[in-house]
Amino acid sequence: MKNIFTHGSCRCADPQVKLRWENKMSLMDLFKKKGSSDVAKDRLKLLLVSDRANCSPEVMEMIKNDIIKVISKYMVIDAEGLDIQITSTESDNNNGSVPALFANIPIKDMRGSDR
Amino acid sequence: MSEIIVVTSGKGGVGKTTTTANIGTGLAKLGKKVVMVDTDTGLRNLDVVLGLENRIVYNLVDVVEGNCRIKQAMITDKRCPKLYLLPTAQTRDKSAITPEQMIKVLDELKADPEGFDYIILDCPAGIEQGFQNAIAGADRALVVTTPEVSAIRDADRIVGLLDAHGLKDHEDLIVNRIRMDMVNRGEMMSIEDVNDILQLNVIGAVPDDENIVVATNKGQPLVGDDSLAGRAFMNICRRIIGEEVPFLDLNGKGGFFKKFSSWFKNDKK
Repeated sequence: MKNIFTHGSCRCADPQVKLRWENKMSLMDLFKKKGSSDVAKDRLKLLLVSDRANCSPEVMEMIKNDIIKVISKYMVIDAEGLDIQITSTESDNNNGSVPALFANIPIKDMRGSDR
Repeated sequence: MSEIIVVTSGKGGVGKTTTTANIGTGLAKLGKKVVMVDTDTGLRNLDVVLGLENRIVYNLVDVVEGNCRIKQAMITDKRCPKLYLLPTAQTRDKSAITPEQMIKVLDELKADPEGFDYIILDCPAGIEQGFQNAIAGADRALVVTTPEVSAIRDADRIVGLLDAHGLKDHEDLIVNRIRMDMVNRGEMMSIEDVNDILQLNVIGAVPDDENIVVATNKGQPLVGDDSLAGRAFMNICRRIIGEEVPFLDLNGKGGFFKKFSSWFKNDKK
């Protein structure tokens, strides 16, 4: 199986993500109005990454459940609100974009669940 | 030695059959001996686009089942003496033919004493048996897409399947139904955008031209006439036989100057 999780990263808490998006949007609006062709291109790029990764919904569900199991050892998380998806991100070595697994894991309590 | 080219797309309605008809006819106009095989059993349309629907007696399924010889099923196009059509059955389904049987038919066509230069296969939409039949014996694939999210996504899936079938580096892309007015407004992906996403050699781009509808109405492929689409298809044919042809300006006659003068007018207002 292809190693698709080489750039795995974990993003916790919603507000940060939102903030990032808003900054991006306002910068773009300054230069030009985004045409729908750019929207199509961006959507397709993401879509093809997950299509090519050949990750079935069943596999994604298994990954999700394993993540819940591991993180729950150390903190209380909202398993219902957990969201994972395969997207692409800029490579650190500057050679284009690479697949990345993004996980959005809402934390209910930073204290360990068994403490 | 014949080259077997499959025209495929994944998604339906992007122009596979129109492309097959025009490329087959175009190659014959360039002096090549060509046979087009419709592999879309149950939903055949290549005969109609070519205007040959009234001349069908036997079909591909008859050949496979031994009801006739392959020569009896092949229709010659009277307008173009070097062009042949091998239609398929309309009242059967894709399971009437297996990939092995398809390869046998292709071997027989390749062994034709006069020798076909090109065997062009019109592939059905989808990735099921009909697709598997069509790609079974192919040496080369032309992937047709339109500049839309759904068509490009399906094309990417098809390319993956073609790669797995051993056709990697034998695939070319045709971007069909492009509308330069929309591309210029930023409301449609450009040829470069499509190329950037699919990372596939673009062998040609065909504009969304109403002459295509007229040609299909009449059952006469427009390849080689002086419409924009007719010229675009002929350029693709020339590239297939190995000529280097520069890309057509799809903005149409005097497109740039027309646009330039319209800016000028706007400024004056």
